[in-house]
Amino acid sequence: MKSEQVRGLIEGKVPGIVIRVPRERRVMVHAPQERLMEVLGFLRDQGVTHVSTISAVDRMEEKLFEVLYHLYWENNEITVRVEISRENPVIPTVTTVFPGALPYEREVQDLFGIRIEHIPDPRRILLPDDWPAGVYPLRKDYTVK
Amino acid sequence: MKENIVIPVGPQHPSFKEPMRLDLSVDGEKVVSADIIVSFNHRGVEKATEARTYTQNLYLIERVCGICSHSHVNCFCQAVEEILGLEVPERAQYIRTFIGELERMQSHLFWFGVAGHMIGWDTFLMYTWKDRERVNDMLELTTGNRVHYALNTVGGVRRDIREEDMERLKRGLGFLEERTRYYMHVMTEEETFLKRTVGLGLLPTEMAKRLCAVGPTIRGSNVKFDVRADDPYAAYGDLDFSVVTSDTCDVWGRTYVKAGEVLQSIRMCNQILDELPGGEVRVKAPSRVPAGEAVTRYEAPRGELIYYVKSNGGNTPERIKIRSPTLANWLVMTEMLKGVYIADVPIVTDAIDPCLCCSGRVTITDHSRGERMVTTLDALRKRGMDRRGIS
Repeated sequence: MKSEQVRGLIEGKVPGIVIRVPRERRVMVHAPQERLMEVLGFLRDQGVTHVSTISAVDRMEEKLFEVLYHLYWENNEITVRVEISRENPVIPTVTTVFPGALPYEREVQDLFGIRIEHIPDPRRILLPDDWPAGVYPLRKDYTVK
Repeated sequence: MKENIVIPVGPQHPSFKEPMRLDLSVDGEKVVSADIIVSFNHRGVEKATEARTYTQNLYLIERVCGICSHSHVNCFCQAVEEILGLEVPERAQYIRTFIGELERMQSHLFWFGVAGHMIGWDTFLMYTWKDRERVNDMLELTTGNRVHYALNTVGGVRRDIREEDMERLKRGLGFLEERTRYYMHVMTEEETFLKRTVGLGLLPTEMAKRLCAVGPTIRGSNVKFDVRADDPYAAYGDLDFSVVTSDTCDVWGRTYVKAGEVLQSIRMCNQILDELPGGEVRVKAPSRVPAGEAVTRYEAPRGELIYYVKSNGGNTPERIKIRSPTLANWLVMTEMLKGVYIADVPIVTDAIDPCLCCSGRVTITDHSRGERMVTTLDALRKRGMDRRGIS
């Protein structure tokens, strides 16, 4: 499917969402936090099953985290981006919609300290068991000497 | 009584990507459930990339993995080139693809050997790894290295394929084709191999899609999911190749897919050598990467590799997110292990090609007898062989 078609499809059903097509086969969707599940639910209903990964970016100066959901569908990599508060970073689990997202949610929770609500498996995935609680290495204020 | 089971990670191995711990819960000889822990070799590479320039990161990112190093650095270069809006010369794309396919071949041949070792076929390991040496020789001829080719740079490749080497490369491809056809014949006809792989480690198509599996694992469950065909990069848009799938959804299917892929790689490499465009092999990249972001994907030997690179216009990247294919396959591995005999755990675990190969010891808890025992992987292999009457 052409990227412009994907954009049109999402814009038609989920209006008011910012969508960019930087190049062919890449669709960047910017959704407000409260509409994340609506967008992902819509994509699931279209037949999307594959979550490539979930990225997070620490925008410390702006007191934000960006969470990006990278999904693959019909030759397009669709990235759904949300911004959440850095002071109290909470986001609902998407495993109810995409069960395969579990390892990536665990990773974001472990390394960034973004709390994933109702995550089916809240254990650490990458850091050792004795890693101190409340220390999140991928945040910008954690520096490696 | 349910206790945690520990597999201590073996010594460092060139093909290690993500050492894992397997917790196996068993009832008699069969695995009831499995849990996997993937944290033992976390090196903090993503954090490390934020403290290095883009050129320094070429060196670091190549070392994320030993056996698919080219995949990583290629995917990274593609992302940076996309942010720069840099067009890489066609000849460089063809050379990148050629090395990428040689890398796939040496990775799959490596896997055949390890899979053979898992079922007690050490001669098969010796044969396949001997043939793999031919691929390594071709890689060394072209890039100067057998592992970590240091070939890619932002803007192209650092070395060209010389005209005088074409003959040797073509002869090498011919030899490898003959050997791979023999292995395909062995895998499809040899009764002992079929007994150890057919119907094992079942992964139904719908489950593979739902749990987001990638690579030969999902293609062995009849899903045509291959980044080279779906989202072409480098020279793949120009090449003739088929995406190999199997509808058997078992360990045999995954093996068949890998053997088929080696044959497709040989086909592509021949086409690349025949149609290699002229011109430069690199363009000069600007020293500063402007603010921007890119999502790039690559079909590594184990499956979809994805990079998200964000630049803030500074010397060092803002964020590099790397998702290697093995992490995508661990959810399905826990499903595949359900109902499997303990003796078959090594081959089923290995079927996703997890890049760990040298797990040391397994502690098995037997629910029905309330017993614990510690066994080594070698003992587990021997148990499997004894069970099947292979000496």
